[in-house]
Amino acid sequence: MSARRCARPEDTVAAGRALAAWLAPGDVVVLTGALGAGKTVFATGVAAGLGVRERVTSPTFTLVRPHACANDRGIATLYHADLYRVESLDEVADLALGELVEESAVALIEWGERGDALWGPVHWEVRFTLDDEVRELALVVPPGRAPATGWAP
Amino acid sequence: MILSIETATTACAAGLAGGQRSVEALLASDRRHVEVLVPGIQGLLAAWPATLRDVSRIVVDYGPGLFTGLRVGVATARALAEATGAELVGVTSLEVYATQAAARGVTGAVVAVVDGRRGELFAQPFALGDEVEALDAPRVVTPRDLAEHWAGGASPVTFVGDGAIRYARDLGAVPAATCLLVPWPSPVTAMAIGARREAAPVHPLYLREADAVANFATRSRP
Ligand SMILES: Nc1ncnc2c1ncn2[C@@H]1O[C@H](COP(=O)(O)OP(=O)(O)O)[C@@H](O)[C@H]1O
Ligand SMILES: [Mg+2]
Repeated sequence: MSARRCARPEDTVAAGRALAAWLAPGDVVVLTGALGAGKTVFATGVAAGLGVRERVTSPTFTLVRPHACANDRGIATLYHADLYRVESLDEVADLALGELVEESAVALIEWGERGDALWGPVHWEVRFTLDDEVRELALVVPPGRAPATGWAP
Repeated sequence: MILSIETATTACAAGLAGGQRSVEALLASDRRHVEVLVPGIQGLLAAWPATLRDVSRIVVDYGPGLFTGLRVGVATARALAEATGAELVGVTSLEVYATQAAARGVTGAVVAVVDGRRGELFAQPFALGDEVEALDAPRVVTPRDLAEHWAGGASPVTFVGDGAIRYARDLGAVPAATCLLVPWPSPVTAMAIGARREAAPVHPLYLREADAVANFATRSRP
């Protein structure tokens, strides 16, 4: 697992676009890292890469927001979730994100580690650490998937 | 009479039993539980013919299984029991599968497997003889770990359930293993189990919750 250095917000957006190119229907992506680490900024890049036209903002108050996608990979919907404000695991389970994505969607879940046991072993994870302006994004590829060549030097 | 509700897999099914008769129907196989369950029950009752007032016991599969299915099935069973005064009885998807294997003449070691999604199975081992005896609690496992666990033993084992269909390749590779392809837990089998069981409150069994609750509690907020 290697980390990709993102010095500016645009770099974090580009990292999101890079991940989007590897996503397939059914994928769950867990984003972990402190407040302000760049998870939502990254989400805008993933959304752009999947062909989402509308503006992507933090779904903190709605927990999850579906975005229609336009791409040629069978991903019709991006579910963008944020578990920062959830109080109990029931709330996370109730979203049924793992099942929602199965047919033709992907889920991008900020603070997703809060529902870790629900996602199973087969999910992506992007771990954000920040040092002043620079963000380091470590990518964990689901078992059985091709390595993320070119993610980090 | 008994009404049975099955929503633990992408299939939605229901059954009725009374006197010497029992019927079951597959209402949909593509996770349309919300849409088909109540009309399906009404259809079964009309065909019998009977009404909800004739139902004295409701048997519901409370999991483990498909989250989005189970919450429809359990909520519907609870609401119907509340409205009619019928007794509510829960059975697990895994015991229903094991009992279906027994009904097909399987004996010895049987592992009931429900597709847990996200690359995992809900699994529980049983010994089938005169009775269907659970040997362990239901667990969440990867197909690979389950196969590895059983590959060590020399005695035959039968995997039964929808999980054995999805992961037939992993599980079928276990020496001396048989995969019994049963696509969904049978409501008629569920009623046979539930007829002898005491009524009790029913909650969906998600199985991952126990782990996840612990995980949630240990994580402090920033
Ligand atoms: N290299 C960088 N990558 C991402 N965001 C950055 C970077 N440098 C500064 N920022 C700023 O940090 C903030 C990150 O916010 P956000 O993506 O909402 O964080 P999170 O969703 O992780 O709480 C934004 O205001 C963004 O402009
Ligand atoms: Mg955010």
